[in-house]
Amino acid sequence: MNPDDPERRPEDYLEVAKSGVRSPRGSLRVYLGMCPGVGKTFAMLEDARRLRSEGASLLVGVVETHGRADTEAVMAGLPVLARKLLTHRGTELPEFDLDEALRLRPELVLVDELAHTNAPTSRHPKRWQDVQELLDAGINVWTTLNIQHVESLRDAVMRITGIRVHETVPDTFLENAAEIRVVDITPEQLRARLESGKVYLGERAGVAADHFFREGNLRALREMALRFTTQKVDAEKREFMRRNLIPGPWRTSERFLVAVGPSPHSGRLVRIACRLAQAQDAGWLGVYVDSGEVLSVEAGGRLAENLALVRALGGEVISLPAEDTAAALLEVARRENITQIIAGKALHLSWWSRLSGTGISERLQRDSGDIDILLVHPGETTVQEQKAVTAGKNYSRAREWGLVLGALAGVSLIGLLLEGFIGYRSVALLYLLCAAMAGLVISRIAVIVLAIAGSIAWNFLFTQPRLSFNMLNAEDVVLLFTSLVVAIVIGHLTNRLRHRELASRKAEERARALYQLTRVTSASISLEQGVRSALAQVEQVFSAQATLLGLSNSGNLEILGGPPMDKKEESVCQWALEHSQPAGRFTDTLPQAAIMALPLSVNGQITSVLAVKPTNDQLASPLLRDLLETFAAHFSVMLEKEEYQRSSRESVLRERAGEFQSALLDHVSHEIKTPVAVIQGASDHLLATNLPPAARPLVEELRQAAKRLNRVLTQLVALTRAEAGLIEARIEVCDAFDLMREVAENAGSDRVVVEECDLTFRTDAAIFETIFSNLLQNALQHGSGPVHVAANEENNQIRFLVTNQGPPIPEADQAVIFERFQRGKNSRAGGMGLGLPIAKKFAALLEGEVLLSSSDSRETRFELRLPQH
Amino acid sequence: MQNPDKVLVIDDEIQIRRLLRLTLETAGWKVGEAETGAAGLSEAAYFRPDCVILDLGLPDLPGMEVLKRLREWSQTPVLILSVHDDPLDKVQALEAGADDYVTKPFDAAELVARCRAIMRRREIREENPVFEAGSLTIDFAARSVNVKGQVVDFTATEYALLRLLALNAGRVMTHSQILRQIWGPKAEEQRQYLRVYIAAIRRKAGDSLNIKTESGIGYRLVG
Repeated sequence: MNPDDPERRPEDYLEVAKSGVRSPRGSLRVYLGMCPGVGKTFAMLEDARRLRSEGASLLVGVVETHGRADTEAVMAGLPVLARKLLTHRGTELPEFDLDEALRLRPELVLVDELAHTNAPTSRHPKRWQDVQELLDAGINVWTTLNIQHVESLRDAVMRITGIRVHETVPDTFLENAAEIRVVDITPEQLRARLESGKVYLGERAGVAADHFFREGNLRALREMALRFTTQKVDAEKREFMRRNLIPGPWRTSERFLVAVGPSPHSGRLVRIACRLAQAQDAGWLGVYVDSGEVLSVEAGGRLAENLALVRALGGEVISLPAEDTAAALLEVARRENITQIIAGKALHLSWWSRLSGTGISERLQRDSGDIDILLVHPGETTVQEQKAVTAGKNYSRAREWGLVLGALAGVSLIGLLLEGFIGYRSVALLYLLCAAMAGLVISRIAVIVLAIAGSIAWNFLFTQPRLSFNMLNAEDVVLLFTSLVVAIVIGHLTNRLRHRELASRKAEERARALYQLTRVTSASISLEQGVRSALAQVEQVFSAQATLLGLSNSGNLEILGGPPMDKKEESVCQWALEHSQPAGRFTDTLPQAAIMALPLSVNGQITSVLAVKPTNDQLASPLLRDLLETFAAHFSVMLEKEEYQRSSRESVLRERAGEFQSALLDHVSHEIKTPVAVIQGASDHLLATNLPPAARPLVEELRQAAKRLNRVLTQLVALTRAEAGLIEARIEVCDAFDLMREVAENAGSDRVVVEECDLTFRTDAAIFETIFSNLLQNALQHGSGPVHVAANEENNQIRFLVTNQGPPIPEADQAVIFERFQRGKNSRAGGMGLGLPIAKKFAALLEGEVLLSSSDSRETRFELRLPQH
Repeated sequence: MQNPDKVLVIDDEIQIRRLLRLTLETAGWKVGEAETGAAGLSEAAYFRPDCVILDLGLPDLPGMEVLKRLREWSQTPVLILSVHDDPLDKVQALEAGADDYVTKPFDAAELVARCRAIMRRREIREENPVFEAGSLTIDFAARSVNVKGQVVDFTATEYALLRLLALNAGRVMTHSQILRQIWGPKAEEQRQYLRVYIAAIRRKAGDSLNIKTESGIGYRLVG
């Protein structure tokens, strides 16, 4: 494929890049069956036996044999992990021992029944989460699963079999499976196995089981299992195409939005959205619009569940406060480039929305423009669920109706008392006033009811003839209807006003909380003070105790601010840190804990955890949860800032230390070089005079020693300056032969042979000279005979070769010759071994490298490679 | 016997001064000494040296400052003797008017040779219309170059470059000095030209001419 194909989008390249950096994650194999009894566990164990005979280290983590002889037979001889006994309400539950499996670290762990729900005191509520942790730890896992436990198929299974499945595994988890193996038998075979008693039916009553295993059901489930696997293969194909940049039929431009609410139907809507998005390989998000309506505890819980479902199915969650749900949905859709909105079809439209066309679905259809709208029928709900909805509503509305009745009775009483003074027609205005004002506290429907009831009460109690619904006076009739309409309109308007005010107050509270947080933290001088005041803000806003923990140098979590925690809470924080996921209360992991731990990312690394211990349930609300996440992000920024400041302080210190070291060495070298110059000059002078023959070798020694001292000093200064980053390359065009010849001349030895060449390249001549003269000196020093120097060009690089004859560099030394203060073991005395480190260091300044290209009994060759530019 | 050449040593290190005095007197020159920059400048006026050896690290004035002040009124050849071996320092000193640059510790014989070379340059310029180095002769009046008895053709630019180096024989000419004088002030950054022409001159003149490359600094014709 041509990589410059203009059809490629950056995302495609990103995907490709992604596939290149696989984390060492364990791989997952799922044995998928249409229902219990098809022989998944047996198939898995048989494969395991075969693998074990090939010598693999594996462990049976948990397998239910249900007492079946053939299963037990095939398991015999495989190492089995002992179950961990957890006590819950007096009963002992044998559960999979995750910690022990992690400790033993086999290559493969067999975990039966992926959808199993763990005992309440376990680390994770679900077994698939245990498996996730095993995979994260790099352990391969084989597991078994029945098709009805796949989250997105739950509704379909329920429609077919009539059985509601509670234990499900999210699709996103299954998407990560490396392999899905269908264990398939025909429904006839299964029926036969069932009849011969080979299938364990659990605690299910015979009738229910019989219903489940009806042949029609089995066919449908089997088709589902096969289709699921096909889809997985399909997805893999698409993935492959994308990875290999094959232009495929995927349409990533499609994006779905599903409106999520506290309704029990929402879950179904979410699953539909997920399947639609998956089928088209498109992104999707769930949006909750908080219109300010007070939710009952159950409704709030369901909302949280529905939003969690979106996350579990791989969607993104957005929640925002707005009075107008339809407008808010469309706004989000436009902002997020949504192509299709999925919403529930309203079953019971109020007469008002029917008349005015202000129902959410109507509004969506009318204002959506080019965005497609898919309205989904909510589907059958069970009696239980219906109850749940109405119960939720009754709870919040009971007070309202009480208010309506009270207001009606109150106004009627006052009217009866005052009628004598103000006349009966004024009483109608009192009813009107009451309905108008009620709009401030009660819902729209209640206002309408109040207005109508008020009219009726006035008609009944005050108009002639009294205590009847008849009216004699035409004026009264007009007054009745006018005040009724006015009451409804005003009540409606005040009601809207109240909602808007509530929404804006909420938004304002949120903004103020954030503003307060920013203010107190930015005003603090030190990190400690900032953390303290930020934690105080968290406590105030969320009425929760807050603690900030950070990784210490020793790798343990330590408290940076806030009250101390007990062992169990610390382990929750530890988990959140290690897995970069929120843990504890209101989350999927360790939900029974008293605290909720949010991992904080500082400069892309999770090094801290914010732990909150809520005193009430308000954090279950997505809006507050969202706010808490924003607070957490603020903590991250605060720690990041501190980290940045610390590192910049450190780098300034380091730089200063480097400069100081270099300046010191400059000074010392200056001070030493002068006397060295004197020694060298004096010996030169002496050698030029008529020395007594006995003195001559001594003076010669003196001169050599001075020269050597000078060389070492120069090298030390050069290396120190390079390491302090004080040397800057000044690149210019140079002639390779010219440079080599000059260095050879300055080397002061007639053993150097420079091979002629015609090569130019861009480099810093002085730095080059330093590198090359050090290589040359090294060659002269470590070998005897001629030193050959040559240069050639290869792949836009200039290679300089320095070759000398002599003993090879021992292999043990080859690795260390470029280290400072190392010298080949068999090298002659002289030279502190700085030459090669300098060559290496300086070559790096020119974006080149120095390497030992060969060393044998004949010759040793060093190579300097520099870019030609 | 003609008057010996006079060399002024400006260095604050008494040991260096004593050593230089010994070395230079052995070479047959008369030596003057100054311990500070200020003393060096007045000594240059009174002593009238033929060559100045100047240390850059002086206690009162930076050596560069001494050089600049000296150049305001004197063209006496100056050899810088310093412990600094950064090419930038060298280029700076040479551009400010120094004739050569030797780092400490130095080779006594080489120092003497370099002093001699920069003193000879004055003679070439003032008295000789002909430059001779080994078997190479340049007749400035006739604009002709003779190598081993044969006339060799040089292009105008090559000749101008050769002439410049010959007139400054023994002295290090920095890249920018050469470029400025031959191609004009705008060509200062185009060193690749220079490299090409130097290579051509070297090829035509063969081994009778020694043009040394001073890495990162410039070229020097060794006379």
